[in-house]
Amino acid sequence: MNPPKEGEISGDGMRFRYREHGGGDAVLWLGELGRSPLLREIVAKQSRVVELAPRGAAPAAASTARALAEALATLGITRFDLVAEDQYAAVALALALDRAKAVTSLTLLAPVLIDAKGGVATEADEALVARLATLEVPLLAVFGTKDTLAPPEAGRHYRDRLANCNLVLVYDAGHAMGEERPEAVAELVTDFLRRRDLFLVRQTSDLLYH
Amino acid sequence: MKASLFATSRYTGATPDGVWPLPSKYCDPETAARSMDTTIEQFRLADVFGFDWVTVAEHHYSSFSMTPNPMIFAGALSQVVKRAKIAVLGPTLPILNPVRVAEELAMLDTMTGGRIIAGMMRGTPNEYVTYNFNPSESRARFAEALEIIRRAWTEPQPFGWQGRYYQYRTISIWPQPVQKPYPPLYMSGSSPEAGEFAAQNRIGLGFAFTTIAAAAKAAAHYRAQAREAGWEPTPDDVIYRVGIHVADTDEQAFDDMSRAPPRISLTTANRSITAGVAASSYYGRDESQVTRTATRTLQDRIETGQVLVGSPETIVGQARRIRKEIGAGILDCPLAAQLGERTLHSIELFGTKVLPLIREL
Repeated sequence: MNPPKEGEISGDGMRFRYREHGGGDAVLWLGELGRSPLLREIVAKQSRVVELAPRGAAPAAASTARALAEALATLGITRFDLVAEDQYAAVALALALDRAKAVTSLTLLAPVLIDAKGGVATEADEALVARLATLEVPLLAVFGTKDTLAPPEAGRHYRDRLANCNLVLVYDAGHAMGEERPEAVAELVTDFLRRRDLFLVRQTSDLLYH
Repeated sequence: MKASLFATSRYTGATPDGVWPLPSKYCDPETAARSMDTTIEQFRLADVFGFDWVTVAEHHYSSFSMTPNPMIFAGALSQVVKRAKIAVLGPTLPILNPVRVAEELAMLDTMTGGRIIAGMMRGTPNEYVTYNFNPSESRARFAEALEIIRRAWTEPQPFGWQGRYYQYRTISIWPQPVQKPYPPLYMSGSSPEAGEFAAQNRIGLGFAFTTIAAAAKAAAHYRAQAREAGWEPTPDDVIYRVGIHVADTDEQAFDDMSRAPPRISLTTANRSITAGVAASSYYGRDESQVTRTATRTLQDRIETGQVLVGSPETIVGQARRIRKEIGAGILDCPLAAQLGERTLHSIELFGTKVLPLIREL
């Protein structure tokens, strides 16, 4: 595997740091660069993983999503699967809502947007969440059973609000699930990226011996 | 105190002693059917005579207990036992599909109008041979399976599970339990690890076929751990399982016991399995488990609290000791002697003469 390419791109006046590795269909990965490296390496074995994070403090999700879409064009990426970790969930959802034809699937890892009681923190988040019913992209929301920042009880509210939401709990994982149980998260994410909603149907064999 | 009758659905025909797995060639289907009918009648009587619970359990490949799936037996009892709670003590969690366990217990809770007690067991060592599981992984499998079950009973939306030992892409069980958030939970175990897990997870703890001294020590550890976790177990959180035989007099009870079929040990019947399991980390820090089931005389077993035998007054005295030394609020009572009418009389005596007196303990 070639070493990751790293650099900086910009769109709509915002600058983003990026780190790219792997090959194949593009997976846009919103999260701190270099975090949960084993998880991202495993995904990069089947996909072109483009990690992106805003440089400096990001404005509201909607404007960050617009800037991101422009920035991606400079990398020649027009259709992509989208993976977002913790606070980047809002940007990812805004991007998926605004660029429905560009986003082929959305995976949210430990998303921090809707809380365990179904509430949100800001009016902007409320406006975003109110639009979620129109989102039709295949979606996977993943929570660690020991996560206190994005508690697993929040997952049910994503399912309530999103038409195509698959909810999966990662046992014995906290908020940094990609670092605590990278292989387990990677199996889930790669299967969903490969097969989207069809990942519900197991394809691996239980055959012991021929 | 409360009491539960545990009729094990023991095969009443002749079988060799000290063998596990017991060859199925000894099983006569008609005798097996009659044995199960006898058990159902014993449970029906327990309900009539005021037992608080009736207990079913899971064991395999043995004439000691012909309920490899206790859920099926509990389903039958749901139509016969109209008042008492049905304690499934329980599914051997690490060797089963936890989603299936959650589904079946929820079904039973629905069928009984919320009368299910859910015991989650790690099982006797031989059970790991039955379905070919590694006993050294039993605690980890148990912990994960229990969490799946709790979430299956409480999550309002379908959810997948990416575990260490279990993986499901979606879980959404129907029906949900009648009792909210779910039926009372118990687990078994005398080991420090079991007490710590039960305390940290706020679930009841049961001690089975052990001694009062060992159970008292384990119960004290459980309570100390619970206090550290911020709660105080009540007597109802502690079950002590001990065989019973009651007769009108002590002499009659001892005479009955001398004519009872021999006890069947599941844990020591196969030396290879005993040694193999002991070599794993199955017993954890509870090394005494390996030797606890050593053969003793009836009198020894009474003195150590491994069996309650005697007149109602004698039984009350023995129960008082269990309540005082262990703090157990629930006696789970296997029938120590299967002797037809004598056993039915024992159930009646316990219900009518013992239970009213131990209620206030």
